[in-house]
Amino acid sequence: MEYTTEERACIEMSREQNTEARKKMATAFVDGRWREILAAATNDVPLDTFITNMNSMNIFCVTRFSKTYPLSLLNLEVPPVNLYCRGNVELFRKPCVAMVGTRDCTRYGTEVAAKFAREFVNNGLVVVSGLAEGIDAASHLGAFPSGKVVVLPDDTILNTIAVLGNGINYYYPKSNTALQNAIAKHGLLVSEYPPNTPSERYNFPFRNRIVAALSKAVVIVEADLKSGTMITRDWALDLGIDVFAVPGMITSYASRGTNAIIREAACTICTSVEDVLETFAIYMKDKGQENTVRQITLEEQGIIAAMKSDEVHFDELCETMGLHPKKLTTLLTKMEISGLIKKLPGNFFACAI
Amino acid sequence: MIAKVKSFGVAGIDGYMVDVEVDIIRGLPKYLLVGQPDASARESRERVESAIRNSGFSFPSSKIVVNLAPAGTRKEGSLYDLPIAIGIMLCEGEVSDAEKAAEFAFIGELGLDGEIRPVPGVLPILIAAREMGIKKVIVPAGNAKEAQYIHGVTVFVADNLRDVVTAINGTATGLRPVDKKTYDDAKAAVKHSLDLKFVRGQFVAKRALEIAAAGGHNILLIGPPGSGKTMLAKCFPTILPDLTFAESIEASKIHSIAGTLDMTSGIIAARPFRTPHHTASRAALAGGGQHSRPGEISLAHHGVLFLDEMPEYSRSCLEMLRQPLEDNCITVARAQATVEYPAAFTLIASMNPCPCGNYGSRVQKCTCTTSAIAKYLARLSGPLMDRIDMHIEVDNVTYDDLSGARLSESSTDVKSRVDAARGRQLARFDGTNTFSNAKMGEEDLKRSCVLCPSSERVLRDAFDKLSLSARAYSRILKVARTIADLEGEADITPDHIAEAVGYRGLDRKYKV
Repeated sequence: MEYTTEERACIEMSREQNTEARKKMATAFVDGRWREILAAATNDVPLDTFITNMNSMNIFCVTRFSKTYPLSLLNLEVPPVNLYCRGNVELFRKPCVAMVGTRDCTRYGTEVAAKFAREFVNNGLVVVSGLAEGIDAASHLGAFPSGKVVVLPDDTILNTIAVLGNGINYYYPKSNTALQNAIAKHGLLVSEYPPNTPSERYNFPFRNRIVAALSKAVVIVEADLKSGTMITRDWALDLGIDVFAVPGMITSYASRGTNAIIREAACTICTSVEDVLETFAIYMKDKGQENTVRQITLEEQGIIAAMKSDEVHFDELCETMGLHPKKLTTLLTKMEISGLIKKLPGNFFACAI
Repeated sequence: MIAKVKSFGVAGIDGYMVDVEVDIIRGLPKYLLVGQPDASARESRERVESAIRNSGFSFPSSKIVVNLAPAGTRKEGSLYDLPIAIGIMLCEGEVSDAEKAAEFAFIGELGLDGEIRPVPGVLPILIAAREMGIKKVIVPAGNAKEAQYIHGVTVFVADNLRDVVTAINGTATGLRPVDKKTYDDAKAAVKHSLDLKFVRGQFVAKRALEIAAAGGHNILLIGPPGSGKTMLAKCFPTILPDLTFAESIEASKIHSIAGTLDMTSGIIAARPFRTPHHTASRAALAGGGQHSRPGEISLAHHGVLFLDEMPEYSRSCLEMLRQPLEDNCITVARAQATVEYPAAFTLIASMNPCPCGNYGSRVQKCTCTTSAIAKYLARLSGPLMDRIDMHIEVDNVTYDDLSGARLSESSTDVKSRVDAARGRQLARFDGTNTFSNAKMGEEDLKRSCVLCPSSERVLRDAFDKLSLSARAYSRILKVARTIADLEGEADITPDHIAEAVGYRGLDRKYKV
């Protein structure tokens, strides 16, 4: 890939480590003296070598002067001069919704995140998140057709953007390696840090501003009181972006943050994707389509009633329903296949969200 | 003068005849033992000499050559002490009736005072003796119980060398014939200290054990520490079908060779339940070693091998199980010999759901990361998991308030259903080498597990919706077949398939 002089200047700025040189570059940038910026660079690796290396790693740069640069980022106080990207840059043009939340999430959180993400994607939105564990990963996964990382045809486009706090060629957290690779291939990976930047904890809150600025709405699924998610919300409020929060149980630690901001009226309460889609002026047509799979039998109704919203243990169901274990296993498996319920670790069952 | 005495050796799990030839040649006193004896057989010299002298007989001071024929096979153990001593005394004339001596085969280790001590491997030896048409065998008194169940051969026991010699010479009757017993006597003596009715709750696990017992399926119990996995596993033998006499003999032979046969009963009448610790070496599990000895998996032949905390076993131990699980036997090849031991066992394994043990528990919080759990589960390789038909989760949630509502079934009740289901399987596989659903090959599977369209649909939906792995396919069919057998139904219905799918917990996405 070739870059113009302005673009090269931006790349040089984004990878400069020396504070003195950065200051000099910043003043030169305001006046548009690109050559001066290039001359001030102190990096050991020459820019041309750096670009060749990036090309070999399939990483490309979207600078402030690129056609594809998302204009919404300019609303930021400190817009990134350059974004290192890998994947499908076209996704920047589509309407984006940010989905953020805690890493230490509950089953409720992951399921809501995955469901919301799936429905956003089905409505043509792009899900932006930070590729952390927990809610972030669940949101990205929701953008996959089957809800999990599988091998997809090469030309598949996944509507999801992951904004990283480290170099694109780094995998952090390691548990999301497969997910990160799949997003690089079918979605879009973005980072304002040059390749080979290791994960530093102070970089992550700062990248949240990009997550917010790329999107037209921010949905918080689960968050504790003091968390990176709350930082994202602050960025969003500063930018005037709509913030939505999914309420949770008052006893749940993972929902303390979301419940608090709902109480403070610092966001919009969000109980279904429609609430968010209105922001994008999208209105869902067929609502009941998903659930009309088949008739539910009386026994199945009984089980669903016994579950209420809670997780129920197999033995307990056995007792309350008065069913033989073999009959109950059969019934539960069939209901699971129909998507009515979900089997949880430890022989627990719950209604599907 | 050359004397020939009949004795026996053990190769693998079968006995074979050994001719003990003794020759006394004029020359400097010397003792030569040939015919590939191992260390304990070679040491016989010291025991034999002392035993003969201390029994009041004379020991020749000439060159003694002892040959254990066939000379090409390796002889292990101390059981040749007695035949060697008899051979030497035949040469010396201490045993005067050579013809009478030739009627017997001799087995036994000698003490320095002439006492005859028990040796391992008597059971397979007696079976071999019967097959070779040998009518009378003298065995150590300590092995008398093993001899009880082998009909068609008269077994005598003697306490010491002097009794044997005087009996052959006809001066006294120091030999006692062993009373025969029937296998039913042995079976009647079997008592289980555990019973399924003592297990509270755990409905799924109990039902799964019933299916596993009926079809011989391998099963994995997953649960936090203290959830009763071990208790459930230990109850498993109480619901297994009775050991048939043929099976019992096979199992007893192995235990006889290994020296683990219970000397009070003399035969294995209840299905063996082996629980090797996870520090066990590969040789301890598979068998072999310098003195070829059956391993734990062979000792579990026709019974249960229980691997508690399965991921803690070394990788090489676990991978070693793959071939016996498929072939029902293990071939141990060593530089000196290659032995095949039978190993048709049902595997029960238990494990924690994660390194801290609390994943999925509502009592204690799990502190493991996703990758730690994935790593823990990855310790069990795919091909090994492929051979385990059912994964059952057990948990430590107690429902004391509910426990009164339903009385648990006793093992006897469950066992009667298991027996009926086994009977149906035996009838179906009559004339083949298959004895249970779990051991069905591709051919049997095609023949016995025909699915109707609606069953087919349930199975296909399960694969699509629950993202089961492809290797689960034949496992589900086999388990469904057993469930149908338990119900006494000829065809597999959609309900059977659905239940079988319910026992494939680990195939599904495990982490919330």
